[in-house]
Amino acid sequence: MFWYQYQLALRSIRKTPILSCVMIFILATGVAVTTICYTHYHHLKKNPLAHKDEHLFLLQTDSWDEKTQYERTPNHLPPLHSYRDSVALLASDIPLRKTAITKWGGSMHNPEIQQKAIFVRGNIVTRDFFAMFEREFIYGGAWNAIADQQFQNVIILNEDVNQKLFSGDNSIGKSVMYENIQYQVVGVTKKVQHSNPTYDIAQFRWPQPDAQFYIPFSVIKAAEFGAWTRYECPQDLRDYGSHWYQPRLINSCIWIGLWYEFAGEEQKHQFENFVRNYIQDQKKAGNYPRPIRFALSSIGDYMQLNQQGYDEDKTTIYIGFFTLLVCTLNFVALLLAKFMRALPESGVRRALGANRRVIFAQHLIESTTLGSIAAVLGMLMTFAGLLYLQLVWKSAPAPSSGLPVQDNTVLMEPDFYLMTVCVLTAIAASICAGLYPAWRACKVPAANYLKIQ
Amino acid sequence: MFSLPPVLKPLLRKKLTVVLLGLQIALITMLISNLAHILNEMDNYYKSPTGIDDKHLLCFTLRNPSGTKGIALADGLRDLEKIKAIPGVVDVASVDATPLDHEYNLKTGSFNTSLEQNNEQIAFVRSNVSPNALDTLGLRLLAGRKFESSDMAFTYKSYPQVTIITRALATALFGENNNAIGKMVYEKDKQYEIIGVVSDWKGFAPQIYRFESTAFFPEYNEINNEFRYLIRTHSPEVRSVVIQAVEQYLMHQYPQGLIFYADKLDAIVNKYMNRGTLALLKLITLILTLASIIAIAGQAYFSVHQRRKQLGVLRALGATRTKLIAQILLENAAIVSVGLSLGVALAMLLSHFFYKTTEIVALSPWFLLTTACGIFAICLLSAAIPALQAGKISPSLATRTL
Repeated sequence: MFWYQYQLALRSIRKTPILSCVMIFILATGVAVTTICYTHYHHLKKNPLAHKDEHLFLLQTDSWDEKTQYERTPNHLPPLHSYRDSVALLASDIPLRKTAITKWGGSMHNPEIQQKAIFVRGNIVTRDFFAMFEREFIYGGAWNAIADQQFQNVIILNEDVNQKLFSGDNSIGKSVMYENIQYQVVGVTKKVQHSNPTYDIAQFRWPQPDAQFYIPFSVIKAAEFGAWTRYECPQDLRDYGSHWYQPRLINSCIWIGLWYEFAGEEQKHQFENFVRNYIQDQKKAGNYPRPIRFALSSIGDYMQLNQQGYDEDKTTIYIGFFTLLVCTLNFVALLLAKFMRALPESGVRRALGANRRVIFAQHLIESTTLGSIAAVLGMLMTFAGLLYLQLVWKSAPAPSSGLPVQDNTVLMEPDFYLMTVCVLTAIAASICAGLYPAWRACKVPAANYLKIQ
Repeated sequence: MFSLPPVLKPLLRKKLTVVLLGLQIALITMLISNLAHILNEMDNYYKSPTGIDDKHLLCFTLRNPSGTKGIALADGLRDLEKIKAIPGVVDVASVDATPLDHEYNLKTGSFNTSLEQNNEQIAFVRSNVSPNALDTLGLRLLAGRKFESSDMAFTYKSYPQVTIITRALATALFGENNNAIGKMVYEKDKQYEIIGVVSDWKGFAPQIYRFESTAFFPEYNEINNEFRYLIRTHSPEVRSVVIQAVEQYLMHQYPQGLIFYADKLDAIVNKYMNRGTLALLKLITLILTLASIIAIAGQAYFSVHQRRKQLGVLRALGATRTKLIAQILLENAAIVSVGLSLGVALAMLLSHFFYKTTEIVALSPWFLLTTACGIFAICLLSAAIPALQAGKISPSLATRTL
């Protein structure tokens, strides 16, 4: 029966080729625009480390000043810590893995060849970072545990920098000059480009460029450097001296992120107690003037927390939805015109014994068939549209400084989920659009059309 | 000659078609007018003058060479003199951030107009400059005086006593018509005297829909991680030659391990352009316009086509061809007008929503009117083709049974 209905639908579509093409094109356009508008939102909401959500946590503590609460995060807890607190909170042996993260940028060159230095930005982390955030190595591996305590001149480069300085060769054991210090390369990481800022989640919602190098956390004490990250200070009237750098190591200004990985709930509870005790302890020294409050949030938790932030990016989704609405309305109108024209046929079928349900089904199948073809075309149009947007993004001139910029092409990557959304939207729209015209068609009084004949 | 009742009556009989077409036109008007408006606003912003003499300007950034502590002020000042001697160069100044480039290195602060901290804080972008920097940039002095060498302060040793602010900042601080010159402003425990007000410009971090206020301070740093040379040339063309000469000079002065890069300031506009959003909006607007033209035309065509027989009867009853065409067009115009009025109302609503959430200026009535007229014209045109065809329907068609 279905097969017969389907053949009737195909015949009807073939009978009005121009009208059918227009309808398919209109619906495909609506679906493609909707999918394109939805793409970046879909990618922003993806969590590449979702499988670690039970183990990997960002620590936030309320280290802000007595009078005002911190305003720039959804849970009103500063996303970063002072160096003083970071060192103390990293000292705990409870967590399975732990890392601090702050950023630095400067000049780097290969001392063996004469060349203009390149401008790079990277992360200051502990050796656990690479396992915690699943960074893969092309050559070498993380530095030894001692380097986290006692500064050693070791560095891990990213694929890109290794390409520029060593033409992509295995550079393990070779040295690079970064700012005014010589470092030995111990590893080269594979480049990753996530649409989710992962370890920067508390500061950014949009993808961040991959770090170009990694240096042990112990460098902060060994070298003076101006961190390339948010540097904010709560009101603190104590005098820490006027040197440009040294006060940073003892004052309450925040500039270091802290992440922990636990083996299980038990460990997490123990660590929570540790943090509580630490804050209690610090209150004696005049730090942490606010009530004790801290949070351990996984990347997923934090995204949930920041839901409102993501909702700000929905404007384009509304535009897409309206476009789909316009196109579906149009589809309905054209479908109505098409079915009304074929009323005599339905009349004859009714007279020959087809019941209303069959006529209704036949028309619905016809509209769904049109919808399916539109889905395929819409998918192609979505591909083309996203490809065009990626090209436009890539064609933007690079900054003269040579630093990597936020790469938004990852937000325009077509994937299986999006294509499914595209196809389902088209079919759902065509079924909805077909309901009323099919109902009108099945209500045809057969006698009317027989009379004229 | 044309009376409305015969036009409106058939419309009332096929309510659904009319409602569908009307709704579509309303939604299309709402979407296209707003999209086009946003595109137009962005475009205007990128094309509007920067407020500085960007066509003659070059900005060189020198990063500290590896192996040294930084660039000493004395070296930087010597470079300024040497670069000024290069043919084609009019003036050279030092600034601490690249104008119009939001990439990084932005410092902000906020002023209070009185010592009590309860007052409203007025935020601004700060920049430490050499005395001649404002002239080099091409900012006009509207009131007060310029910086002098005696105003210069040195980071970590002294802080500047005076500041020159842009007109936007002066207005934000003291209101439209109040003279800012000589007034004091406070930032935490520091106080500055305003000695000059300069013309507005797009600022160090131009961002669409956000006005930037700048405060300039006469301040040098004795050891610099970065040193920036702002170079003003005789003509836009000579800049490429000047870039080469300066590069050669810097290469010679600071040998290995040095980074420097030059920006032609009028080329920076390209960098802060939000290409992704622009492209997405353009794509959607284009596809939407195309799809709606096809859709409206298609619908008008099929609705006329459906009524061929009815039109034939009219012809047989003595309706002239012109009258028939006029009636179809009038009918179409009636539907479109209703749709457009609803669309204009919706467009205003959407624009208001955008204004509330994203600070995009509200849609101007003129812009809306133009879009509405455009859509009206497209609709009539798309109805005109089947109308002309309908005019050719022979009356004999009506006499046939099929």
